[in-house]
Amino acid sequence: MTKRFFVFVFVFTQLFGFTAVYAVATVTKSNARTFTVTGPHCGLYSRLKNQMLCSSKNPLLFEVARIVRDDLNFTDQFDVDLKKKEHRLTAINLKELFKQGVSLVTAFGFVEKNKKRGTRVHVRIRDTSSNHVVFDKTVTIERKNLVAQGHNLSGDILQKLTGDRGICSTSVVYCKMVSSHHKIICLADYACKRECVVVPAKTINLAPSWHTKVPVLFYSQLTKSNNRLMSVDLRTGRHSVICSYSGLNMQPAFSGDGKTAAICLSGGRGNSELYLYDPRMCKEAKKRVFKPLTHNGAHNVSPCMLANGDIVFCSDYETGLPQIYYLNRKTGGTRRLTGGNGYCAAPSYCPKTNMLVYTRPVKGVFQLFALSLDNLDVLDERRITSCPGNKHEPSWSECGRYIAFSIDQVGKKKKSSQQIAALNYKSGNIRILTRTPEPKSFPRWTGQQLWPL
Amino acid sequence: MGSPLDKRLLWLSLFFHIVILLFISFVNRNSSIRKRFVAYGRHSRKITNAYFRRLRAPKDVYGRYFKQKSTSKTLKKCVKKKPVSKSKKVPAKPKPKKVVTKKIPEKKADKKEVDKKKKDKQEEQKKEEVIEKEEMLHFNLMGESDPRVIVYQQCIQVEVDRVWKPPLGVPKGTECEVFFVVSRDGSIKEFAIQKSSHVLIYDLSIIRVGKQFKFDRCLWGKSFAVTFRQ
Repeated sequence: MTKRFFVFVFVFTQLFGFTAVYAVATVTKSNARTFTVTGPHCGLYSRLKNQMLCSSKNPLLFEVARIVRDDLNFTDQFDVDLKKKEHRLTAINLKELFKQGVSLVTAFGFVEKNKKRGTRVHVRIRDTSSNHVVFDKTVTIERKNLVAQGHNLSGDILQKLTGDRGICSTSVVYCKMVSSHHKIICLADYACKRECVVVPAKTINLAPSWHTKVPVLFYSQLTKSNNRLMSVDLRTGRHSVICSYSGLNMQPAFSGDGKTAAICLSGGRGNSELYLYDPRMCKEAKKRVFKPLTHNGAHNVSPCMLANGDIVFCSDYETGLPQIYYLNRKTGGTRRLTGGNGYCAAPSYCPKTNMLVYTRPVKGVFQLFALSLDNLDVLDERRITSCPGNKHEPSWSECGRYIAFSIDQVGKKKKSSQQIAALNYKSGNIRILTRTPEPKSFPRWTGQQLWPL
Repeated sequence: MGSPLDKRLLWLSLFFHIVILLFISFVNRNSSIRKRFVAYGRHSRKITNAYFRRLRAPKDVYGRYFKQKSTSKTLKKCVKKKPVSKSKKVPAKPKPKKVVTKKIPEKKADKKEVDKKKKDKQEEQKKEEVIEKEEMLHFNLMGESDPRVIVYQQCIQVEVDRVWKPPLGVPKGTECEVFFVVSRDGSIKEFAIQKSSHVLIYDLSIIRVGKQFKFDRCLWGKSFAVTFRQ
C-alpha cells in the first residue's frame, strides 16, 4: 500500500510539475492584449499600380480610357499604365501581374455603336491578388460630352476603390488674356481638358469668385469710369450688375450659407476698404447697406469669410507691405497672421480643413504657404511649394486636398506665360493643367459640376 | 537504488517524462501569439501623443504631473504677489524724506532680483516641460509590462515602417486586420485579411506588401494578427 502510494505521489508530482509549467507557458502566451506600433512617418505614400488595357480598334474608347487614366493618376493614389491591347486575361496572367506589383487590371471593352444611343463601353476592374471583379459597369458615351462622361466614369471608379468620388466632378473658372485690353473668363472641368467662355465681354474681366450655394459667378469688369462688380447666373446665362460705385468694386466672399458677403470697395478714395453686405440689415434700413469692416486708410483686399463669421483679409496698413490679417467680427479687433516680413498676398480659405493658403516670395520667387487656423495662438506656417516659377492667386478645392493657382512658366520661345496648375496638398505634386499660350490667372475652384453648359 | 521498486520508479518517471515532452512538443508546434498588434498609418504620431496626454490625466497614477502643474501655478502667483509684499515691507522701515533718494537704487536692485528670479523660474518651467516631454516619449501607451511582448511590438513596428506605405487620401481611423503565419525560416507562410477596412485601396496596399514582411527572428515560427490603422 505504501509502495503504491509512493508511486502515485511520485507520478503525480512529475505530471503536475510538467502540467504546471505547460499551463504557465500557455497562459502567458494566450494572454490577449493590444499592442501599438507606429507606421511609416517618412512622408512617403504608396501608389497602387493599375494596368489599364484598351482595345485599339475604337478611338473613342481609347480617349475615354485616357481620361480615366489621367483622373486616377491625378489623385496620386494610383499609378496607371494604359496599353492598347486586347484583354484576354487568365488567372495565371493575373498572378504574374500581381508578382510584378500590379494590384488592379482595368479592361475597357467596346460593346456596340449606335448613332442614336451613342457608343456603349464596358469597364471591368479585377483584383490581381484574388481574381475578383471589383468594378463592372457599362456606360454610354457620346463624342459631345466625352470629357464629362469620362470624368463621371472616373468618379464611379474612385467611389468604388477609395470610397470617395474625388474632384472628378468639380469645375474651375479662370481669367484668360486674349489681348492687353481683352480678358475673358473661362469655365472648365477640373483638369482643364475642355473649356468654355463664360464672360466674353470685350473689356478686362477679372477676379472671378463663386457663390457658395448657387452656380452664380461674380467678377469685376473694367469700364471707363470704374471697376464694377458683375455676376453671371450659369443656369440662365444672364449677366447683371451687382455694384457700380466709383472706384473698385470687387472680390466678394460669401459666408457658408451664402447669405452674407464681404466686399472690397474703394468708393473713389485712394485706398480700398472691406464692407459687409447683410440682407437683414438692408431689410431693416429698407435700402442697400454696406457696413464697413475696416477703416484704416490702407489697401484692404482679398477677404475670406470663415466658418465662424470672422474674416481673413490682406492689408498693408501696418508694415506698408501686404500682410494677412484676421478680423474678429465680435470684438472688431484685427490680428496679423503672417510674420510682417515680405509680401504676403491672395489668401484663400478652406472650410473643410480650416486652413489658409497664400503666396509669399522666397528668394525672389513667389511660393505658396499654408497656415492652419485651428489654434491662433500657435500659428504654424508651412511652405508647400519650392519649384521655380511665381505662384499666384491660390484657391482651395472643396475637399481641401488640392490647390489651384497660376504659375509663371517659360515657354519654348523663352517667353514666360501664366498657366493654371494644381497642387496635391498631401503628396506635394504639381500638375500644369493648361497649355495654350494665352496667359491665365485667378483660378477659382467650385465643387459643382457645371460643364457642359 | 538496487531495489526493483527504485528501478520501476525510475523507468516510470522516464516514460512519463518522455510522454509529456512529446505531448507538449506536439501541442506547441504551432506557437501562435494570440495577440493583436496595431500598426498606425502616417498621421498616427499625433493621435498617439494625444492619447498619451489623456492618459496622463488621472491623479492617482501620475501625481507628479499635477505636482508640477501646481508648482507652476504657485510660481505664477508668487511672481504676482512679490512686488506687493515688497511694497509692504518698505513702509516698515523708518521713512525720513531724505532716505527716499536712497531707496531708489534698492528698488532697482529689487526689480533686477525679481527679473532674475522670473528668468530662473521660466528656465525651470522650461526644464520641467522638457522633462515632461521626455517622459512622454518613454511612456508606455497600453501599460504593457511583459518585456517579451514589448520586443515583439518593436519588431513589428520596425518592419511595418520599412515595408508598408499607406495610400494617400484614406480617412483617419481606417482599420484593416491581417493575420500572419511566419514560417521557421522567417518567410510569410500564410497571410490573410481577417477584417476588411471597406476601403479597397487600403486593403490592396497591404495585400501588395503582405509577403514582403520579414519579421525579426523572435517572431519566426509564430502566428499573430496585426491591425493596420490609418
